[in-house]
Amino acid sequence: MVPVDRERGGQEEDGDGLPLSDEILLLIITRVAGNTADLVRCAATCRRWRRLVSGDADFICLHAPPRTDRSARGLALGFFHHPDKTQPPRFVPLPSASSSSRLPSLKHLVDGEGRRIFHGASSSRVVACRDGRLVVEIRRPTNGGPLTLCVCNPASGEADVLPCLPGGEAYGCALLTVDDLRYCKDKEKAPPRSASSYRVVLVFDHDDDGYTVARYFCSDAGRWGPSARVIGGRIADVKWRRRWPGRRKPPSCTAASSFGRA
Amino acid sequence: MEVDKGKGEAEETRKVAEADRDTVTLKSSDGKLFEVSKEAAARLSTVLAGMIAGGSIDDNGTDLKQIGSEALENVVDYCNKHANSIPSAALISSSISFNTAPFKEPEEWERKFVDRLSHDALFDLVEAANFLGMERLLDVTCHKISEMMKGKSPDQIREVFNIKNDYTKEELEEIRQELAWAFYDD
Repeated sequence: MVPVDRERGGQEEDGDGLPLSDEILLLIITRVAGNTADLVRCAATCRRWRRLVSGDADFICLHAPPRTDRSARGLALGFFHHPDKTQPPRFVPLPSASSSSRLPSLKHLVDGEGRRIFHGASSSRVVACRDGRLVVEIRRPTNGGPLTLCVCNPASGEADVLPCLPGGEAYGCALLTVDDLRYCKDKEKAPPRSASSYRVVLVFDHDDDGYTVARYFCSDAGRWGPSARVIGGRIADVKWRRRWPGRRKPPSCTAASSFGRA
Repeated sequence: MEVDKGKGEAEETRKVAEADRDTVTLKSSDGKLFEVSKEAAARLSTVLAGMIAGGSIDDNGTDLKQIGSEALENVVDYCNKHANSIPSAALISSSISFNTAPFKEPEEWERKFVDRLSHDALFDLVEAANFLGMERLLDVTCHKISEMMKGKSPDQIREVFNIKNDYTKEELEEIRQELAWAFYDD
């Protein structure tokens, strides 16, 4: 065979000995991406292949042939809709949910002692979602009570009711999963213990002293951390009006992300 | 002035002669010459089509320094076979860009064409197809190589492609644990 001059587009330190450029290898790997298990096994072959699969995931997703594996079909089962503020959000299934035996529902979620979490809740709302999990604010008929949040995966049935916080203030909420936390540079903070670890970050205005503070709940520790002051903005100043004219708050319909990772 | 004019005419005559020929001559990196139908080359390779249109085809063999003789022979073979086969409707419509058009399954003769190649010849051919902008041949060769990965464990893939495993034992263990569902072989 005649030796051919090739320009390897890749990084030499992860050379696998295969005489194919990154560009070509990516095209080939994209062809197997119709089956996610095949794609994972490609990535597990060597460092170079992993770099291509993880680094060019957007290209692979866009150009892969249609999915053939059962597990990956129809990741989004549906979304939560909240038309009536006096009722908990209702699940609206998409056609892909028709094959699953049990539809996700907040109604069936139980806490550690087997009690239905949303029983008697007058109007709960989804305040954040990520990777199949929801953060739902549980509201009891008595207004102005403490703030109770539930982190749950309605598809798998996992649910944690977080320790109450003093309520009443406007707040913003985000759910961070292992995917977000692995890039945390802070060595002092404990890394997530397992793939199901999460953190809930709350930012809210402190009415008493006019401060805006942030707190986070760590699932590994099972408790809220101390408050930290946030400088440079207040939750109450967030102008919802820009996107929803005439309203002070966003509409109560919250589309939840996929629930496929049960 | 006279001399210039004469030169221009000669150039003109050469170009006309070139346009009249219905084959083009390609030269591999190791100096071997191959003839291929001009029509097929222009239809199947965007790079050759550009060279033909731009008049940069050399009668004595257009230099393709990046392509070895074995790969170029396969390219020419593919072009000739393609010219002789009745193109299906699917193939005609697949002249849209590779990256946007859905992949059409290889035809029977295309499958046979890549099946007889050794791994090295296949790898050379896929790079040559990419270099020459031959979307269909790139499609077919990539498809063939991807078929060699499907349903295989990482160990089997490494064996097929002769790839060195550069993961540490701990890393492999971690991958296996985190994505256990993808490893049904053990």
